[in-house]
Formats: sequence, structure tokens, C-alpha cells
Amino acid sequence: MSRLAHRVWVAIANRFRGRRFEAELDRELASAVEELTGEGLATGLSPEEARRRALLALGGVEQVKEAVRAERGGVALERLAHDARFALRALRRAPAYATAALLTLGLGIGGATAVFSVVRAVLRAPAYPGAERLVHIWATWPGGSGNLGYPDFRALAEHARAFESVAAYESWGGVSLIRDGRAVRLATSFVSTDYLPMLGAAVERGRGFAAEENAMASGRAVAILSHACWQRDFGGDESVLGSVIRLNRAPYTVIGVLSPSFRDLGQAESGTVAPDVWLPAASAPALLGQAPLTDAYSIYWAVARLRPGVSLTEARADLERIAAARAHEDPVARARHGLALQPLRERLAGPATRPAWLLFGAATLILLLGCVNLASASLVRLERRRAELAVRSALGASTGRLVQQLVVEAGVLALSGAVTGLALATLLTRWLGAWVQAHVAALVEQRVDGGVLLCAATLAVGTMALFGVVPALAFRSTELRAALARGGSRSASAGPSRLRRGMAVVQVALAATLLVGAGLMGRSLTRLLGQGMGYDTADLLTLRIDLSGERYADGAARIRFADGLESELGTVPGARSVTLWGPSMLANATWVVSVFPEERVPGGPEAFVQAFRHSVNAGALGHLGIPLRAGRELLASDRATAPLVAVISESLAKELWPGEVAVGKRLRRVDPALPPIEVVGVAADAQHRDRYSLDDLAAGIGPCGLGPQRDVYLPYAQRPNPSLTLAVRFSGEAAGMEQAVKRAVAHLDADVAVSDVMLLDQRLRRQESAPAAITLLFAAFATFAGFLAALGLYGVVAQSLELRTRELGIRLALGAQAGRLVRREVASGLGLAAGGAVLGIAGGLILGRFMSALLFGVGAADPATLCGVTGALLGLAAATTYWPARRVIRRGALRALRLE
Amino acid sequence: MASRTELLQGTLDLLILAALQAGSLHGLGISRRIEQTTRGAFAVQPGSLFPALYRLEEQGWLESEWGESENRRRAKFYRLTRAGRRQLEAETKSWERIAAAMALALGAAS
Repeated sequence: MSRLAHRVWVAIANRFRGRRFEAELDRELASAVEELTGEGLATGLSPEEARRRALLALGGVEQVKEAVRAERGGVALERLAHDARFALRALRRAPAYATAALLTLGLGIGGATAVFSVVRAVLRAPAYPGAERLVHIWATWPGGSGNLGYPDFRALAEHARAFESVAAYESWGGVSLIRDGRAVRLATSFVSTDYLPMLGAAVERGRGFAAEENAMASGRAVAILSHACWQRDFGGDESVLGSVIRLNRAPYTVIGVLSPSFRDLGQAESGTVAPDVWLPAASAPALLGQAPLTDAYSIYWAVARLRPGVSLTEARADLERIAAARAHEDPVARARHGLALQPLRERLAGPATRPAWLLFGAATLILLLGCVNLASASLVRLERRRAELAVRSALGASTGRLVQQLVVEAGVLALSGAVTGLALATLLTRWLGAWVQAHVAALVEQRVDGGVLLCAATLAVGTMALFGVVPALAFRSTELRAALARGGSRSASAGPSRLRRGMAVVQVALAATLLVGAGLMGRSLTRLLGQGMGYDTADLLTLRIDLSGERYADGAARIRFADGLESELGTVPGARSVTLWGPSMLANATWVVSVFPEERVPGGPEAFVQAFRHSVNAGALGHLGIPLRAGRELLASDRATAPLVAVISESLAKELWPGEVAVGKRLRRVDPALPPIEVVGVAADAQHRDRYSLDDLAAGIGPCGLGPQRDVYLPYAQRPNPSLTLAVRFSGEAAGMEQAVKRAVAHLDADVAVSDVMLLDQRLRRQESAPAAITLLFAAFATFAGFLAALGLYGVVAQSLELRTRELGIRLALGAQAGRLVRREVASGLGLAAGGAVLGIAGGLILGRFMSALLFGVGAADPATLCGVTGALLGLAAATTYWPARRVIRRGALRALRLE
Repeated sequence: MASRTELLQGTLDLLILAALQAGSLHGLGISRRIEQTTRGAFAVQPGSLFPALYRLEEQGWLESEWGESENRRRAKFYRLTRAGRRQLEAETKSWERIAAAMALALGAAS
């Protein structure tokens, strides 16, 4: 211990004794030289000869001094500080290099760190207490998966052994809050008792649900408001606690207000907004106008907390057991149903995982490209400083010492780059975070934390190693003496130049890989957007109406409202057509119906074909502009009491009756008690779902990946859904039309709330914004990479030309044709680019395989993209080599010769 | 001249301490003493000697002062400190153990 203390003391003391130490060392060595000289004189040598021999015997005063300095305690620290000061001076002398390096590193480290913060947020468990043990549970059946029914949830809650607690929730619906004679739509979340406590929801005012209030069979009419709703609709009035509010005209007592920090799980689904009010799950049938809690209405998701020590595999086995028991209990409805689970984190962030990794990979490659450029530039700097380094080496600096100095210089740059990058990343993270929440995963929260800082530090050290150590090592000392011998005149040395050519090839390869990726994404997006919806989307004002509550419990009441709305809007000037569409247009929430040709005997429930079901008013297909291929459109005469009819999509018709006429055939449904539906028409295929849903991508469904469009259009009068979308095609002002539609709805029933008003084209653009932004970001990265690679190639070519100016001048003087020399240079540049492109295409093929799940209409190995990228890179390479070659050969070379 | 032997790592320190056992010497003096006592087997180069002297001084085993050499020149003289003497004893013992063990091992081998 005392030895250590002694050494620390010496190290500190030496910091202050530097000057005296040097003087003393000088004197000591001088006295040794004198001593030796004196002895020489005594043997009869001349004074000059004696001194020369003395110095020779000592082996170089400077070298001895340097060796002594190296032995001193604390010298490493002192040296580092000295090197850092020296590096700063050297960089100040080369401001262009320093600025370029700082910018490259700052942008590179900043970009990669910001994207890494997204990856980290995506991979991190959500901000619920003990979230790593929370799982999401849903139902599966042959050919599909989706919500649980109430009996499923009850079976889970009562019989599951793997979970501490199980909660159910439904966050898609909405109710009308009637207050001061006005109807406002409130987004609802119907939840079981355990839901809010399981997710750690803090009650800001009042209290949470009591168990008896939320018993599934007999819930009470109580409600908990969101902080936002309490502020917006009740002015933050404390007296609302305990008071009665009217939801769909029914009285509900407000028992609490949740803290604004709570994020409902329902928001994970795209197209779902934050709930305004939480209600007992048992209230759902009454408020949403749905049948009692049977399997017929499967509307719940379940979330459960694993018991400590229970693995996912064990939990899945438990679910299998429960599903088997359910099948035994109810062989008709649940025979082939299963239950599935995944960690809640995956459910919430799953959609963002692949794009996030993809972007992080791209950002890291960019940083790598930047580093290669810097390494290349620092090699050039080393070439230029060759004479200086040679002199320092001759004056006693060891190779290790010189390399250390160069590494410190790189370190100073990397550190400044990391600081700049981190500042940039903090800004970018804020922006990216908002973007991810808006478009990709609402419940993913990101911030700059320890992990992100660690990432920035790792990147900084990595870059320092790459662009500091590698060139320094490549520049071995053996060359230095030779350089000194040449008197510092410029001459190409093969080693570093070969290294730089190799680096240029790597750069082109990296850029090619990214460009292939961007090309694939761009082509996929163009295909997707160019595909069209199958109908005319222009000038359509769309909005959502929920006909729920007691007044609309009867289907006839809903049909009356729909008819009334249609005739009311028919008189509004500018309204060219009125379409009713249930349940939604362009949303993820679609309802399905399983059908089979009536004349054939199905092999079992799984033989039925699942199709999307739309309840539409008479003439709706014509209003939207979906062409009829055969038969007729749905008519006003298809009343509730008339025979059941349907129009089906062309693809579905071909699937059910290949090579036959579908019109006139009848559809059978799974439940034999339900009457068959006659097909009266066949419509062209049209897109009704979100075309590029990241949720689907995460579930392994590619863009438009549900295969052929299977749609069944039913008359609203025969299938009156409580929730519907109204689409009015209009001419004139959208705002005026919105007012007119709201007036018409209020005129029919002031208690019905209108929500989610938007032009259909706006909806489309919003859905396209996530894939478009990801593609754009990736394309920007790839373009930047291409630019960096071109810069790298230019650097290599320009440097090689500069070093060979004399040689080229001699060739010209000897009669070589300038044009041929230029062509030779361009060809050598193209050779580098071609090598890089071949490697890059190979990388692109690998990247394409990773991306293939995100692509629509293009293969992972798309020839057009590969050819395009290769062509573009070769063109870029030709341009970047042609200009410096031309300049040097036509003008510089002869002049250089003349100057010599 | 006798053939030169490569110095083992750490041996130089012990040689310097041993050379100073009889009294203080300046840098070149130490080098010559080592050469004499080892009958020319070890010739310590100044490039190794001076760093070692500074190292030993920093470790507190040597102390130095300026004095006059036999040729009446100013020179820096080194001598053992108390800690240096203890270090010399300890290292001598450990060296003897090693030497004895080596001799046994080599004797058994031949």
C-alpha cells in the first residue's frame, strides 16, 4: 500500500518538477560526456575525436534522455496531455481536414446514436410495473386470429395456472356523452377489474373500480375519466366526482380520474386513440348495442401477468390446456380455436422492430463509410507529414511514440465528434420519438439514457480505432528512414496507397448495399401506391357514427336512422352521393364472415373461406366507383324482410366457383341455422384495408399480403351494424360539407356523436406516411452513403494522380496522348468501383432477404434495382475519376515538369 | 574480451544495487563497476543504465547528490538508501534460491 502511495506521490511530484528534472538530466549526461572525453584526452586523442567517441559510447544523448523520460512515474499521463495539445495544434493547422472530420463524425455518431435510441426503446419493456412478465393473449383459429370472447376470458381468469392475474380490455368503441344538449363522442375502454391495477394506473382523483362494480356478469354503471377528458369536457371541475353523467343516454357515476401519465394498451392498435373513459367490461353489451357476453361477439384482448418462474413455454402449454377444455365444452363454436400469447413488449413494439434495426444498420454503415473516408484522409495527411515524422524519428522518437501520437490525434477528433454527435442525437431523438409514436408504435417511448450514451461512446472508440490506429499501423516506421533519405520529396509508396484503394472498394460496396436496399424499398412503395384502391377516392368526406345505446338496440331503429340520414343529405347542395359503409373504411378493424358454396358439402369449419364483410347502402358500389363485373348492384328493394343477398368480389367469386357463373349461387355460413345468402352481383376487386400496416408486417403479413381481395358486400338493411362510416362525395368546400353533415345528423338525433371527420385522401396519405417516411429516411441514408463513397473514390484518385504528376508529365513529354492517359485513369477508377459494386450487390442480396417481408411486388433480388444501382455507381465513379484525371493530365503534368 | 551475456529482465536493478553496496558511485562508475565485477560479462549501455537509475531513485532505493569525481569533475553520485539495502538483501536471497534451483535442475539434466 505504502509503495503504491509512494508511486502516486512521485507521479504527482514529477508533474511539478518537469523543468528541474530536465535540467538535472541534462547536467548529468553532460558530465558523463565530459568524463568520457577527459578519459579520451588522457589516452592522447585529439579533443574533437575524444568528444566524438564519448558521444558514440553514450549512444545518442537524446535517445538516452527519451529512455529516462519513459521510466518516470506519471509519464504516461503527461505524455497524453502533451500529445493532446500537439494534436490540437496540428488540427488547427489543417482546418479543412479538422472540420470535415468533425462533421463526418458528428453526423455519423449522432445519426447512429439517435436511431439506436429508437432500437433501444423498441426492445425495452414498456413502462408498466414488472412489464417483463406481462403477456398479451389472443385467440387463433384455422386461417386467422383475433379477439377473445367473454367465455374465453372467464376460462382464463378461472382456470389458468401460469398467471398471477388476467385482465381483459376492449378499446375500439365509442359512446356519446350528452352534456348541455350537445353530443360529444368519447373513446371508451371497457376493462375488467384487474386491468388498471395490473398496469399500475395511478388514480389522480377519486378511486379505481371495486371488484363488485366490475364483475363481468353484473357490473355497475360507474366510469373513470381520463385526465384529458376531465379537463376538456368537464373543465377540470372537482364536483364531477360522484356525479352522474349520461353516456348514450344511460346514467353513469364518475368515480375517479386517472393520472395523465397512464397509457392505455388499446393505443397499441393503429387507428385507435387514447381512451377518454374507462368503463366496466360488463357495460359493453349495453353501451355498444351488442349481444350479451357470448362467443358471438369476440371483442376482448387479454393481458396477463406470469407467475414468477413460469416460462413462456409453460404458459403456452397452460393456454393449450384451457383451449382444449373450451373445445370440449363447446364443440360447435370452439372446436378448432386455440389461445396464443406473446410478451407484451413484442405486441407493443413489434411493428417497429424490423424497420428500426434496418435503419440502425444503415446509420452504422454510414458511420463506417465516414470513418473509412477519414482513415483515407489521415493516410494522405501522414504521407504529407512523412518528412516531419522522419525527422522526429531520427531525433529519437520511437515508432511506438509516433503511433501513439497519431492515435491521440484521432482520439481528440473522435471525442469531439462524439460530443457533437451526442448533442445532435439528443435533438434527433426528440424528433424521432414523436414520429415513432405518431406513426409506428404509440406506446414506445424513447429517451437518451445510459444505454444510448454507452452506444455513443462505443461508436466513438470504434471510429477512433478505425481511422486512427489502422492508418498509423499501416504506416510502419521502416519507410521513414527511406523517406528521410529521399529528402522528403514526394513519391508514392505502395503500402498505404494499396490500403486506400482497398478502402475505396469497401466504401463503394457499402454504398451499393444501402442503395440496393433503398431501391427495393422505393420500388415496393411505388408499386404499392401505384396500385390504386380500385375505386375513386377523390372528394370523399368520411366520418364515423356509432349508433349504440338503448335507442338503437333494435336493428330497425338503426335502419331508420340510416335511411333518414341518406334522404336528409340528399337535399344538401354539393353532396353528389352518400355512401354508408360498415364498419369502417381503410381501417384495420374489419369484420369477417366465413362462407362456402351452398351446393357443395364443406369438409369442416376450416373449409369455409374467410372474407371481409361490409354493410353498405343501396348503390354504394356505384357511388364509390367500384365496377360491377356481373349481375346487379345492391338496391333499395333489398330490405330487411327481403331474401338475403350479397355482392361479392371477383377474386372471391373465382375462389368459390372457379370457371362458373357466381351470380345466382348461394352462400352457406358456418352455423347451419343461418339462412343462405344469394349472390346477386360480382364486383371488381377493391382495397378496403390499411395497405401497409406495420402491425400486419409484424404478424408476418406483407403489404397487401392477405392475398386476393375477398370481400362480401351486404345491404345495410339486412346487416345493420351499430358502427358505420359515412362517405359523402361532394363538390365545393370540405368545411362547408362537414358542417352540413353534422347539422343533418343532429337534426335526426342530437345525441348521436360524429367523430373522426377526414377526407378519404387524407386517410390514405396518413396511412402511407409511415412506409413513405421509412423509405425516404433509408433513401436519404443511401444517397449520403453514395456521396461519401464518391468522395472517397475521388480522394484516392486525386491523390494517386498528384503523386504521379511527374510520371504523367514525362509520359506526355515522350509523346503519350492525353486522351488515352485520361481514359486509362478513368478505367482504373472504374475498376475499383466495379469491384466494390460486385461486393455491394452481394451485400444487397443479403439485405434484400432480410427486408423481403417489408416488400410488395418486388423480389429480394430485383434485377432492375441491381442493374440500376450498378449503373449509377459506375457512372458516379466515371465522373469522379474523369475530372481530376483531366485536370492533372491536361494542365498540371507538363507544368510540373517544366517547374522541375 | 569475454563474451557478453544478455541481461535478464530485472537483473540490471540487482546489479546496480550490488555495485553500490561498497559506497557511492556516479553513473559511469556504476557501469564500470558492474563490468569489472562480472569480468566483462555484462556491459551496461547508458541507454539502459540511466533510466534504471532514475527508476530506482523514484522507488526510493537510491539517493543522489552532486559531488566531485576522481578526475575532479562534477558528477551525480548515487548511494543505497536503507530501503535499498533491504531490497538488495531480499533480492540477493531470492536470486540465490533461483540460482541454486537452476543449478540443481541443470545438474540433474546433465
